[in-house]
Amino acid sequence: MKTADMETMEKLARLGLYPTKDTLPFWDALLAGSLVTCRCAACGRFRQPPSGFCPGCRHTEVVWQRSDGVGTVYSFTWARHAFTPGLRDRVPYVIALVELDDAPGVRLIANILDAGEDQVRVGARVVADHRNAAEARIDFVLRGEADD
Amino acid sequence: MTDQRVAIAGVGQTTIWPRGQSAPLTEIDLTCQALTSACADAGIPVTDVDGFAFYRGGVDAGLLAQTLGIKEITFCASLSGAGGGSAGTLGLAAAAIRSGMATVVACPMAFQQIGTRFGAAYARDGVGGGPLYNHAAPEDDFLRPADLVAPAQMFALITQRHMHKYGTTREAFAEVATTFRDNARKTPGSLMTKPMTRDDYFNARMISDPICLYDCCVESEGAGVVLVTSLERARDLRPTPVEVLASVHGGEGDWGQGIMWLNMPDEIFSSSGHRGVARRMYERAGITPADVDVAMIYDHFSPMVLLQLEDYGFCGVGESNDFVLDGNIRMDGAIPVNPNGGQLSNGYLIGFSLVTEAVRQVRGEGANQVPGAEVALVTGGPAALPVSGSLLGAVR
Repeated sequence: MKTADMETMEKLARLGLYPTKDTLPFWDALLAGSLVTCRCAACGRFRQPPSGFCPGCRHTEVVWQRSDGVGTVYSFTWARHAFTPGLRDRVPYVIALVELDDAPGVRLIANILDAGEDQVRVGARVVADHRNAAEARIDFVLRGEADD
Repeated sequence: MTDQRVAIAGVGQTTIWPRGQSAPLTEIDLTCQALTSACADAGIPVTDVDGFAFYRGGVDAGLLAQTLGIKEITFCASLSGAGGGSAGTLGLAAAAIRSGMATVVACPMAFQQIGTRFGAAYARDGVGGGPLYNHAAPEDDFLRPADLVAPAQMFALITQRHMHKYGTTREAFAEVATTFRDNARKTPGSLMTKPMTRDDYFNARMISDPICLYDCCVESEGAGVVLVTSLERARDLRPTPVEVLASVHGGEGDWGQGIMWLNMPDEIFSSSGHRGVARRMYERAGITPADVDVAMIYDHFSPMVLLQLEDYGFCGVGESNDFVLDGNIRMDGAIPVNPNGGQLSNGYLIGFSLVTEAVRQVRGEGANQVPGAEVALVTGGPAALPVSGSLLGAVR
């Protein structure tokens, strides 16, 4: 791998993330404040997480497509119990599955930031938020707030 | 061709302890306790055991053999995956018997949580952190940035989608939790025996919406073993051998890693991942859901009981809320579920206490017996593939 890649790998390892050749471009982009999605270079099918083979056609080459980060909440939960000591200051937080408008078939496991108890629902419109990009967090905010 | 029918000749189970309390016994101690009691139950000398069928990697077979003085191991295999395989070990054992690779196969499960907690299975940080956390799995990296660390949170995501899609309510989860608690109170050795009302359920603290404390199984420890052999041999051993009518594992590829993936297609997302296994299981046994007298359904989280009732055909997809609220899973309902109190209230051995109870129910030996039960369903965990399901039947 290139030296730049090694540096990124080391940075991600400090965050507890251990990418491979297939997932590194996603994390690399995230650290730089953007979302990219993995798409089969042959049949165009999106897949998540990025992997070495297209489950539709078994092709191995991919194209990385930049996403504008706009999507819809597919499901969510308010995590209220701190399962580990490190989460005591985090609860309650929203874990959501977000489907991206421009990458059908991709569902990201994310947090929804700045949301009130009754604001998060299945079908809510959200947009990616990169304030925690340096920690490689996958964050969204509710669309209404982002447009304010 | 010889008789290909396969039966369970013996069953053994240790005490179920709360998490951390089976010490100073070791995992091998627990396994050997359960194995020797299963052999005593069957009337088979321990030295006749020549096969082992495990799931989630199992127990160290070499250590078992040297500890118990097993003469020779001729079959030793494990289903991959985790709790999904609990019911499927019976099919793995049956395959060994039918192929002639072994004559008496023990299916052991032993489980301790000393120093680890399955409740936080995917957590990365030390204290209370998770046994399933895997530094080397790039797929798992995608769980971490959102602090998705617990099976309870993962199943909450599946449950919330089911509620959105079909209007499923927490009332139905309360019915599951309170029904199983009632059943556990009638089963000696259950860990959770305090009466639970609907109000108790709704007053419990929320863990990860919509899953509250009483939707979660107990963290516990113990071991169980069933002995599988040919029906021909089992007939000579016990007055009531329990036939393995069908035991299948696997699952539809679209389910994949399930809760660790969460990118399953929408048609299958808010399910238990068991539809393919259920279809094959009924086909192989040549019976239908209407023929099942008692169901031991993997209840790590109460909403997943509803989703399995759908996938195993006791009601239509999306209809489990009303099916449960109509009283159908109670002891006097259309399909009594988990008469021992299940993993929610009796105890959690990654599915195996459900397997042993299914055997007892078909024998008519359940502490809280379903009257006249002749056919039992037992399911493995809704988890990453493989998942599994088995049908056990009384031998007439």
